[in-house]
Amino acid sequence: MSIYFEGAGSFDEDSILVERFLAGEASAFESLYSKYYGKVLSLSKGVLISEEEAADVTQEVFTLVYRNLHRFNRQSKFSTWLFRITINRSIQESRKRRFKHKHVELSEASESIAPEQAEDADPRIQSAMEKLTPQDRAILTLFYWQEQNLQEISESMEINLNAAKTRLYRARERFRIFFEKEVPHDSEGN
Amino acid sequence: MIPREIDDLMWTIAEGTDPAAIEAFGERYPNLREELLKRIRTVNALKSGNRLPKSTPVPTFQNTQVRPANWRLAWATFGFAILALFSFGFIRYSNHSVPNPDVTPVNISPAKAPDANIQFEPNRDLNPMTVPNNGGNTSQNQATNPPTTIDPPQTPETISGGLKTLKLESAPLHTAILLIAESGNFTVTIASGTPNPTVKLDFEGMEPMDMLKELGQQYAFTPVIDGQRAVLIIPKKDEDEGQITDNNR
Repeated sequence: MSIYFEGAGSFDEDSILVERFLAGEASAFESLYSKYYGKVLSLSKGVLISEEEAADVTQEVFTLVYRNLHRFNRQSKFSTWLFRITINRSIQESRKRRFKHKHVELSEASESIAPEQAEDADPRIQSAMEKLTPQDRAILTLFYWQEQNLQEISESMEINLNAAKTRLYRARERFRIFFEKEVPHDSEGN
Repeated sequence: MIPREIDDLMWTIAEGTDPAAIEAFGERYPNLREELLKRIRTVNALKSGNRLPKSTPVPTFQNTQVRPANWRLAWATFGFAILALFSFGFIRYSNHSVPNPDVTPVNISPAKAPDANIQFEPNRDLNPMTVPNNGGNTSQNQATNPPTTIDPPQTPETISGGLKTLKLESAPLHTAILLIAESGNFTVTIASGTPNPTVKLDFEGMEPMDMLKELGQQYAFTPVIDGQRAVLIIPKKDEDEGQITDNNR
């Protein structure tokens, strides 16, 4: 759904839900929450690896959004603002637990995954992801999991377009190196 | 080392997964075919890395789950520390600014009586209300001069200590003399042979030197000024021992 106001820019569905919530309609926030819960959880998990911690961060992110939605300046898409909060909160959480050196067992992580998804899960991918920095994981998650383009990534991570391009290139290259070490060397690709 | 432009091209082809583009690149750069396949594997891995189930159950939103941030705890701790610091400073200031009152009823156990022959250092804080009456010799100036410095040519006729109130229920005479000297801010030396009966003091608004003189009349000793702020207690040998009683007035 998209509504266009002449001279005032376009309003997407998210913007309308935001306006309705700010006008006092609580159910509008429930709609935003239901729509973005999975994406926020996925993004947070991409940074934190641990699904349990990602779930906690996701709840905190939506609580922050609920309490601070009036500060959303509407200069970017709601999803961009939401992902920015998610990345910042996830990286912050990742730094806090860095000293704890909490390693998530693969078997433990697999328990919370649906059977059909677990069959497709590749532990080598997670192993390579764990070796990256939270910032690298964040940009790869935004690009490959959230399918954001570089412009959206630059807004979500509050960096310029060239920096986003460079960071994505480097993060992808670092992932490739770690991933190649995990993959048995063969000459065939798919 | 693969040039950056070629590397970018390989990533672009890997992202697009167009079979024709892959075949064309392999024909043009056969030595980089393996590198292209590695990037294709990497992109496939990254795209399949999102292992969350498609239908993730959405829990009920609860607006109560923000964990208290560390900075809140830090600010609370800092606030308590500041409060404690101010409290400590206020107590110290209060204790320092309140003047010590004059000597009022004091009960001293005879067992704690100090040695009668020692020099008694006056407590400088005991007499903040002292008014000088002998040629500008203020109590502060007296306090800054050590009482042990004795200059015989400058021996005054009397020692002013200000009007004091001193009451003792029961104490040895020597202890009473030392307390009077302390209240008058002068030292006292008690000569051997001075009697030391148990006495009761009840002086109100009197000069400490006058207290000693009155006590001397009752208990047979003579207070002799022996310097600027020093008094020597000499027993009366040619007179009667005096009426040694427990009451002096």
